[in-house]
Amino acid sequence: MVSYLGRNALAAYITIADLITLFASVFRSLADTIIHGRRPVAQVCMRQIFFTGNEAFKVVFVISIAVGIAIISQMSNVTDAGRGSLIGKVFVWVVIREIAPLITALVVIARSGSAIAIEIGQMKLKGEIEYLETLGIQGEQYLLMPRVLGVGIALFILNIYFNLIAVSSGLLVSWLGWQIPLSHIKQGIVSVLTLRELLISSSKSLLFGFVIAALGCNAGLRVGDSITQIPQAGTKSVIHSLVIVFILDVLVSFTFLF
Amino acid sequence: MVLFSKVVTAGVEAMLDFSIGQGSVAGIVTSREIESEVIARLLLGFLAPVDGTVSVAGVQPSGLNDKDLSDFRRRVGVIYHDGGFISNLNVWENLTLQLSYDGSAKKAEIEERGMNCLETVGYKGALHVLPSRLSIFERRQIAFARAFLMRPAVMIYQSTLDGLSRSEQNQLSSLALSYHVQGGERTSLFLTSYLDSLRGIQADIIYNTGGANQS
Repeated sequence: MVSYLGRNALAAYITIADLITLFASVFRSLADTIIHGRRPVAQVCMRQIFFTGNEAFKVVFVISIAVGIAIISQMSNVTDAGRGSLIGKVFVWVVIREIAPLITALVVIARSGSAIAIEIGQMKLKGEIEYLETLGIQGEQYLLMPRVLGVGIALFILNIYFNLIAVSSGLLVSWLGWQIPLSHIKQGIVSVLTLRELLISSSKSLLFGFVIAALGCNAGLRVGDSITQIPQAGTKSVIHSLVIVFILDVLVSFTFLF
Repeated sequence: MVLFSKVVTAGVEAMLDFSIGQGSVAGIVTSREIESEVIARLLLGFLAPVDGTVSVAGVQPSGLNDKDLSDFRRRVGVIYHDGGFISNLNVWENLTLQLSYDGSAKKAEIEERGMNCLETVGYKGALHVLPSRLSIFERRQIAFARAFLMRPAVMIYQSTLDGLSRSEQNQLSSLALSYHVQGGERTSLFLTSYLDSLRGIQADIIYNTGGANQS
């Protein structure tokens, strides 16, 4: 039991230490990329934004409509008097601050986190990272930094879409289904939606994006000489991302309480 | 130019102790493919010798920091036996990756130089396909073109002439030799485990533990 706990604690420590080292090299690489105007690095970043953001949009679109309608359905049963205003507030507190960054992160973990781990794992196994370095291209600059930045930006944008679609669909259904005046809900939203709420939501999505990509890269880079380690890297990336995203969500929410 | 001074390393049985002068065409014939790979990795700073010194153009690759090592590697051309490509980039992207990353040339210049190099190596295939669709000969043609784009002073050919037909070997040998003589004091080093594959190259065999191998 003790050795089991010790092994897991050590593994968690190594993952977090790797993550910190990886972030440090990513930000060093970012500075060099900007100074030297490395075009291929910018192209990788744009591709990552496209693959993560654009291709996840359909899934996020469907989920955000479902979440908007589900929240409205539940809230309309909770209270009668002044419920329009309360629904608006709940949208801000629950959807914008918590659900949107979390659900978009879950979609990206499932789609892009594992894909990044598998892609980098395959490159490592085939010796392509060494090929890149033979060309004088630093692996962390060409492979890691644009992916971390790209997923962060994509998740930030997906979070905005999620909020807009969930709130719009919720408003529409409450108006059509329960005849709640839109002005009441709007009043509720405006009364609690401050810059601080938007900052919490945005900072969570950016942070989640950076962490998901970094964990994917880290899992991929740990692939050794066996092809069976590639799917393991994908699984590890998903599990680590899920745990760390939920912990970070609590930490960020807690930080903004004060 | 290239110096191996009493080098002892894992993966190579004998001690490596030789030098290759600037402007030379040299051949190293090893008993096993893995030994060629180890020597290439020593030259490029991926491995540090257990004992002894490796230097290329006065630089000891294993002693460099990451940035200096990247700068050093950009001055050395390497033709790997499989081309050494990034599998998710197409032929054109692979060809121009290094020059484009280097930032020293504008887009139009990269296009012009890229097309000229493809013409030089005689590649007539598609540019938008992934490297996995190319034959081994075409891969090596593209690898030559990519190296020529950067005009390196030192070229390392790792099993580049192995596993090809005689006519393909001759084409690549003449490409390597014509590049060698074009630029003044260029140094070319052929690593192989098949002595026979160096038949078309007038190389000084400076290290040979695999002379019995025939391709």
